[in-house]
Amino acid sequence: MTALAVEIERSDSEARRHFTVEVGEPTMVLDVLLALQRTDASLAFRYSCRVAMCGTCTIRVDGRPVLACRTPVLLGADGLLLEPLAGLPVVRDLIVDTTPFSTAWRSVEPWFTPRADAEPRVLAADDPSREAIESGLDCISCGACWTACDLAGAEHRFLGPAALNRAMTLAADARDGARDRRLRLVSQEGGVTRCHYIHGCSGACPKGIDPAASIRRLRRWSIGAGR
Amino acid sequence: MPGADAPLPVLETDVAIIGSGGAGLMCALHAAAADPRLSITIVSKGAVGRSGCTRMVQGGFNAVLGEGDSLESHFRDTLEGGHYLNDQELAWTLVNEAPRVIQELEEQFGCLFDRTATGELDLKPFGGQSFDRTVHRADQTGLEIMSRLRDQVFRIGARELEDWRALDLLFDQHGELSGLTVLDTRSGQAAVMLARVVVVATGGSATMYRIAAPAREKTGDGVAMCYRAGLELRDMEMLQFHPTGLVAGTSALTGTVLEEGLRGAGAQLRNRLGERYMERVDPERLERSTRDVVARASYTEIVEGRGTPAGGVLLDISHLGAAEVERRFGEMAARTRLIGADLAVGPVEVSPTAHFHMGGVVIDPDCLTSVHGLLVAGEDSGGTHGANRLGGNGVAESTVFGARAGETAAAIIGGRGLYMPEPELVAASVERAYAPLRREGGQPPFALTDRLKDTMWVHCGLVRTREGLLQAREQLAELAKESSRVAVAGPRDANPAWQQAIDLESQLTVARLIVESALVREESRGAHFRADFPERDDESWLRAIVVERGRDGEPELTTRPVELTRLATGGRMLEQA
Amino acid sequence: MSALQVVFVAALTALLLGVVLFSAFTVRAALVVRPTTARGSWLVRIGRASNRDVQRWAFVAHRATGVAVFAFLLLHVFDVALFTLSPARFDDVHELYGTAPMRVFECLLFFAILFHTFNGLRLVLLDVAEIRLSTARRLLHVAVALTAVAGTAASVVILKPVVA
Repeated sequence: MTALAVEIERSDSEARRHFTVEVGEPTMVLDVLLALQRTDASLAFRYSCRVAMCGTCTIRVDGRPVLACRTPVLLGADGLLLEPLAGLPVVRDLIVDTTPFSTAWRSVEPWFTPRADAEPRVLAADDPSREAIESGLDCISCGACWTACDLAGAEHRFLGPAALNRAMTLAADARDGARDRRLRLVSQEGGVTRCHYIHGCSGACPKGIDPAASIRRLRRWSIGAGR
Repeated sequence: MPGADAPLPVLETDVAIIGSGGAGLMCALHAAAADPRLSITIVSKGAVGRSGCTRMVQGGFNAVLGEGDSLESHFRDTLEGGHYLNDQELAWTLVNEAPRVIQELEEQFGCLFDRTATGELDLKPFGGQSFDRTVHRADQTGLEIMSRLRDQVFRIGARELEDWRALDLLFDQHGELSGLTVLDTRSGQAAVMLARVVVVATGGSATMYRIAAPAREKTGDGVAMCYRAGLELRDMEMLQFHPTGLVAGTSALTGTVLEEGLRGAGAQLRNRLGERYMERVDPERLERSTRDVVARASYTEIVEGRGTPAGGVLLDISHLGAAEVERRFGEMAARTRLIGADLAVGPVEVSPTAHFHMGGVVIDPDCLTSVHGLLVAGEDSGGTHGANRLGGNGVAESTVFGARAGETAAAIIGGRGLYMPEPELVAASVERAYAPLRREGGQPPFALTDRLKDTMWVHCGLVRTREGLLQAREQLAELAKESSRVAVAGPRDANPAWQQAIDLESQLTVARLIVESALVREESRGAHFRADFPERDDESWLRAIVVERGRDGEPELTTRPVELTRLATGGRMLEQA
Repeated sequence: MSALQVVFVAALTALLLGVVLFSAFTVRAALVVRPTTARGSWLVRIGRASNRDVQRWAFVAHRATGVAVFAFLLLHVFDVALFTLSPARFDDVHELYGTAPMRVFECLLFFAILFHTFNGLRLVLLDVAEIRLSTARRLLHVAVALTAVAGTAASVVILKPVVA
């Protein structure tokens, strides 16, 4: 066991910020939070599944957006700084209100719409659209990309990497009947043309998705579709 | 507590759905499809569509879709796996509707399941099944299903109360269901929700064990709520342990499931001495045996000192080759690397982990309960899986019965109005929720939660005895007493410690019912193993244990014979009238 | 130093200062929305010095080099335009281009042009073709390598007269 200094950004300026916690091997940042909750029961943070599926434990560790359950604490590190996600309103301590993120997601009409002629009905393993869809499929809506993007959440009305990535997976899907409508949606102000190629999202995604590539692809497809 | 004594806000809705996992969201979608004018409210203790366990399903979804497979065969496997304790009508409904739901998920909601090059669904082998029938998307099937359901819920525009928990069911003076009390955990404000139909779909309660797999939210709220409201619960002693939970020291990663598909794909279990003990326990099915058998075998190895120093056994699939493991089980391999092991190249330490509650509220195939206007779907219900659930039947249950609950809700809503709840019920419910905040001098709930988990793991776990269960009963009574002194200093907004105090109440309620039911069942069947009665006894115990809250507030237990409506024990299909 | 030369040097200095300020602004823009008190905050904000964030660094470098090249081009248009006023004045200013400090500046300028070119071509490639994340990062390594090699070679040529 090693002692680790932890600093936590709190909403209440009176609340305790500095802690020391004993960590062993293996310890995730989530384990640190659960241990600290026993020192200070008023500490607010969020988690659910512990296995990188729910995407609710996203916080910033030393400034970087990560999943607390998926981020090992390195023994011998000289301390941890834990902050809430940026670009989203803070509810309390490490809990943020993800409404801007889900509003953006909703605005690309993320639901699948079967084609009127229902053809193709299914996609075989070697169907060319599968690879494109699968490259963006395992998004857990954790919001790490939103925080890592310099535009999303910064009054630019940018839909953000995750919503556009979702739009890409639908536009790539030969079974989906709303491709044209969706391409028009993402061509509007705040859509694909807002991306600055900063690639913060692709560096931050805990699921290894490359949302910037999804946006580029969507941009190629939407040329002409916006008219 | 400021504001707590002011008149509570009142919300109104046609259908109130508690829970936003597979059952809750399917219910919302099917209710909206049946009648688009319905106002639907989803009450979700965590993020909508991102809490609960459907999302964590790695393995897949059992449905009869392959050539040569039959509904009868799936049904037989489900009953064999459930040791004939199942409600056969529920199990039949499950088996019968699963293929339709898969088709709906894929063709209406756009789920992308793995298919072969010829376009057939890629069906993989799972434990306890006579045919490969598990539909999946790599090892993240639940994520795909839940993400697409969540997207569809955006389409229907249901009212979403995210981070709101349901407290209690409410009734009017004549006993008509009138809705529920709810608590916005972000602001800490309680409210009354009047609803014409309430659907309980909160998921199970397996988090009350020291080593456990489910998501944080699953603390038995739904079952406890229904019990308090006087509904009948069945098979409460049947709590499944998944054989392969990760062992990761004190990390919260401990107990998280490494999926069934690993064993289906040929993963081997060995003890510390290198012995493949399933050869001894079930030489025919080996690791592909049912979960109850494999879990107990591993537990026995560990308890008898043949486990690893950290208290596990070794699961090894590296013989498939690193690239193949990476392709099929990538998420899990990544998880094991976090703790310094690697599924792709060598053995990983695993232990049985509390996983799924087969028991729950008594329902019929339309999800109706004994209370008019109250429906229950998914893990909160009991009977579908009997004494043991097959891997791949869980997500099938949530989606199949969620869908049915939605349709039933739309069908019965015409006969239901809005009823004003009894004020005393509302006051008592809200008072119970706020109590930990108002108390002074007590301790936060953490230590009690730990003790509950230890008690259940040691005395009411994979191997049970009368003595152990009696001890558990005693310890639970003590915990219940101490829990009435739990205090949380505040604040009331977004306070996980306070929420955990409320969770603890639900967990203690359900834990007690598990222990009491386990004491009654003096035989061994499926997940319930009594060392003092190690044999299955069909002669006297082909019966479900039913528990309800008696007039004195104490649990009343009765037994009820299982009706063999379709399949006799031993596997003979009965003629259907 | 003639008056005109002083004006040129002053303009060049102002221009360099402008580039530095603009780069700082690019970094700040991210910080304004997402303040952090993490150690070495602005560096951390842009990205760790790891391959994961290498494209993020490239974005900042691309902006800074772009502005630098553009600003110098403006100045250069003016100093070349002097020839139409008077060839003597043109010669006067252009004497500076041969001095050692100016040659060092030219080397830096050349590195900037090279990086902006190669990375720009990379971005065009990303735009028109399907390129995986790992390949995109590898392409950036290539762009940096090409910049280093070509820049060093050119620097040798530029600096040779003053070093010798």
